[in-house]
Amino acid sequence: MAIRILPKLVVNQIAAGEVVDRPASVVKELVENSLDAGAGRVDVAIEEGGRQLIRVADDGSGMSPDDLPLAAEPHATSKLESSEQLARIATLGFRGEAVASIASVSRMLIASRAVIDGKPAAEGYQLQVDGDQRSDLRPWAGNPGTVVEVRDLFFNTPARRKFLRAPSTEFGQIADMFARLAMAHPQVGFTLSHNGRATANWPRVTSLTQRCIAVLGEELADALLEFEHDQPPRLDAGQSASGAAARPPRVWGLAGLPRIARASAKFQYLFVNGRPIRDRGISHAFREAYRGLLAADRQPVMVVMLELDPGQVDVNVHPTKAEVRFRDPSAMHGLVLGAIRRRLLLTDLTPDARVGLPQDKWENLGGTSISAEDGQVEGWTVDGAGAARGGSASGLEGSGSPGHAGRGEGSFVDRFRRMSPSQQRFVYEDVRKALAESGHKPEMDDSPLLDHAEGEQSDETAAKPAVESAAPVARPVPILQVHKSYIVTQDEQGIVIVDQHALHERVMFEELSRRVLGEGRPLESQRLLMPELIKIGARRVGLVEELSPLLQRLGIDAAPMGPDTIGIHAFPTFLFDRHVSAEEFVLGLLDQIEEGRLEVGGQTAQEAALHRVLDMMACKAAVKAGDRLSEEELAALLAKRQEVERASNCPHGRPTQIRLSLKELEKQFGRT
Amino acid sequence: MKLVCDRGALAEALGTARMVVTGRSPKPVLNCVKLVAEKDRLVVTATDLEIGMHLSTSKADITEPGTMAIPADKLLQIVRESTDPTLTIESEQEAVHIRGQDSHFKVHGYSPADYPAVPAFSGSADFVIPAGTLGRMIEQTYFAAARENSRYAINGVLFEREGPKLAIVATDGHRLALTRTVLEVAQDPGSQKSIVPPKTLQLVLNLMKDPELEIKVRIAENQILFQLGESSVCSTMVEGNFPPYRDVIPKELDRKAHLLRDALLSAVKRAALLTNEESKGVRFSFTEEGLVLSSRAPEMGEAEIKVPLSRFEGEPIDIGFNPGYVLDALKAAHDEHITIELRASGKPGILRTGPDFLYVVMPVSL
Ligand SMILES: Nc1ncnc2c1ncn2[C@@H]1O[C@H](COP(=O)(O)OP(=O)(O)OP(=O)(O)O)[C@@H](O)[C@H]1O
Ligand SMILES: [Mg+2]
Repeated sequence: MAIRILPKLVVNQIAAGEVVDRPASVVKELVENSLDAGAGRVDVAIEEGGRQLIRVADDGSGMSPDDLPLAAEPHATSKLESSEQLARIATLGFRGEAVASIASVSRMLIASRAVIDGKPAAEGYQLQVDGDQRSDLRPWAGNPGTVVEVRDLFFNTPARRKFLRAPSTEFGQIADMFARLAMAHPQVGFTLSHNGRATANWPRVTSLTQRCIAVLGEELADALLEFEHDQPPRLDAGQSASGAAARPPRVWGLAGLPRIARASAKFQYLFVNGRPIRDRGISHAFREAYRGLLAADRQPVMVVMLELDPGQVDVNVHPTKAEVRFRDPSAMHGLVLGAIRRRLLLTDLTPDARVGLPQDKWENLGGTSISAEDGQVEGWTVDGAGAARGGSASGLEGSGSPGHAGRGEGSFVDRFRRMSPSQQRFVYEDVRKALAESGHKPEMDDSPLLDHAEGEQSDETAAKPAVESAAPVARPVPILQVHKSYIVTQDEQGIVIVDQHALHERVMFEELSRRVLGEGRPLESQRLLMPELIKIGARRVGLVEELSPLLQRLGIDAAPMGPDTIGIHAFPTFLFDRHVSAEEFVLGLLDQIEEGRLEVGGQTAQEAALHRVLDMMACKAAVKAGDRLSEEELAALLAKRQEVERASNCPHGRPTQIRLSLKELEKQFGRT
Repeated sequence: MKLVCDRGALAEALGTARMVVTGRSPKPVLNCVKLVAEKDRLVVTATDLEIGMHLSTSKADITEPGTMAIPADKLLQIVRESTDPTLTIESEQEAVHIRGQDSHFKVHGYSPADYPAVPAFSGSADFVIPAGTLGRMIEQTYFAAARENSRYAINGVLFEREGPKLAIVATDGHRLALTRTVLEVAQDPGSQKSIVPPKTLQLVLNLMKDPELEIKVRIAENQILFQLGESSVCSTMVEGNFPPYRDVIPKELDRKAHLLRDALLSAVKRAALLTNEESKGVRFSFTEEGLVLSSRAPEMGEAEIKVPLSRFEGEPIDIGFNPGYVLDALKAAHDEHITIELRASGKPGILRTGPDFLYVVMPVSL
């Protein structure tokens, strides 16, 4: 077969196959061009999910009649002159490929009226390109700026056209892409319509926050934490590729509270120099930053914008520019992780509890709350930002999105949901009673609700009031344990209900990881007079040997003692103290490994495994629901909340406490 | 049954009985003590089916012998709260009347026939030991017994006799306490072993008033019996094997410190102040200059305490111990002079006082 040079159209169509795979990527390329042209507003109109029409109009710099025909030529760009510049790309476009590619697979009209030195040119011009058919340049009487219309996308590549999904699906993708572009450019006004119906209108604003909230929804405003970080210049990265001093990276972002976390990573937005991208490393940093604040199947809502010296990032690595390559990926990971984590630590993450909550917007967000779906009427739910405002008073309407039911929200709501109806009533009744009790009798008394440490009950309590009245100042904050599982106390804002197991687990976990991960020292361990023999089966004996370095860091000295038996020679002191059996613990650990829930081997796996095992330890060692705690123990546990990080959630991400605010109480008791 | 009884003596017996009859049994008769009025004495019998005892007092004037089962806690409360020097107790069908000068209680009881049989000490003793000696030996060991069950029967205290030599041993797997004596009276030349629940020993300790009293001990098939004067305690033994304790007593320890018990006791108590849940070990640094204890609790602070040594043999050594374990041993040491023997940081240490008491303690890696 003879080799021949491909016709230009085919070349462009092949390129198009990479650059534009669906309507959303056409929108992305065209809007990026508008942004590169310095537009102050961008209006996008879509018909039939983009298969019929994609129209992008801007008020940017436009093109002169000389440039206009070049725009549709492959490898024609005004944004790049030399290969040195390729290393420091500051514009969204740089290949000179997009317009040509799109034109080769559609019927395209480009109309533009240039703005030269701030003054609009007298006339505009337009050009029609249909596949390889190209019209002459004709005058155009439009506003300064550029309008690009793409009709009949993929009309000449039937295979691709066939693969287009339903218009609503394609439009969904377009809307998502559009939103991402809009988020990073608050100084530009954006509108979007589908089949003539406006779906987004984001006027220009002055801050990223304003724009992001406009895009994400006002109802999330108080569930998003803004953060910002300027990194001081680093010596080693001080030189960029071009030799000029690199400016230090900056991070800005919005971090969603754990309560608005989602089941997928769809609500994570990452930008590098105004360009929406995906990055596995940074996504990992997101999860990492919320480690212990979210259940395993939840993803935080997150916006992160990185400003980097263009020399620090290669944007020319992906056909649709959806990915970039960082010069120093681990520095970026650390930067993002640190910025988010610091912000979370500054925040009181106690969710508010609300009684009989009317619900509206919360459901739209994919969250869950108590609803009539499962026939429950009274309920507690976590205050989903917007839900507090407006909404009907009944709180009984079905959510309308039963698909969300049962998906773990990782919150009190879900645990409540999983309880049997009678349990639910209990919890509700309890707290109500507890509130009433604490109103006039903050001290423990003989109410059946209260659990006394056995035996020492009477004398101490009886003696108390006298002591109390002698010292009228500094009344201690009331603390009481209900159902041997929850601790009810107060803070300035209202009543706080603590899950004793969850909080203790978090406290233990933080103390352990501070030592093992922070100070890098193995856990303190007690050696045994005689090894404790554990029969684990021949198959697992090898596993224990492999595990040995990990176990060592945890203060566990385990060694094979025969074909199917291991001996524990040392075990962490604190586990002994908490009556955790070595045998049960080690067997549990081995089960986890065999079930693939714990990976060992490899440096990162080591760290993850260590985390996981510390978590197991904390869980095993923590007080359980049903454990009676003395007054001192209760007070000591609550005091720990101030000492440890992330006390608001247990290591699995469930909240450790919820708050019933005074405001909410006043409302419920009709005092407002 | 009818009798007049000294209130103090009865209160004391009932107080001890309450250590066994906890009042939490679902079977009402098991929440009772059995009163047995014999010719010249009153016997209070109590049992939880594992431990049983007969507490006898002669400070009672029996007019009509008889027997009755009465809820232990009620009876104890009545006897304690009364002010009379003596109380009259009289049974009438299933109830007893307890009368003081100004009081009359009628308490419903249970048929003594339903009360479980509690073996009394019968036959000859296997050995006899002065209360003072047995008391010391129990105090030096029973604290070290394991609280939880394990593969070995270490939730009990081992009594091991070979001819006239008696050893009592307890361990929880982290430390081991061993104390020995040579018996003056041992009828049986053979050897015997028994693992005794610590609670039983606590009861026996409680009943020891006179250190001179000769306590008779008898080890039957699965029971151990103690006869203390008029009273007796019998207890089921802990089933299972005691670990081969001799194997865990290290030999050839080449570092040896001689010091005073009270100095170390106070120093360890102080060093333990700056330890916490996840960092509870105290570092013991031995040199010829002396012993330095140091501890550290993250976010709280650090402590360092010097303890003079009367003598130190061997190379300097640093080793970590759980202060609680060391304190237990020091409290049990009945002698002012102690020695600590060590070999290496990761190896067991031995604390000794006198010829009788030895305590092996495993280190903590700090
Ligand atoms: N909306 C617009 N306003 C002004 N100039 C435009 C506009 N769209 C395209 N152009 C001009 O057309 C050229 C080609 O656009 P095209 O998108 O094909 O390439 P690019 O943006 O330079 O690079 P890339 O292929 O990476 O997007 C641009 O360099 C720019 O000069
Ligand atoms: Mg472009």
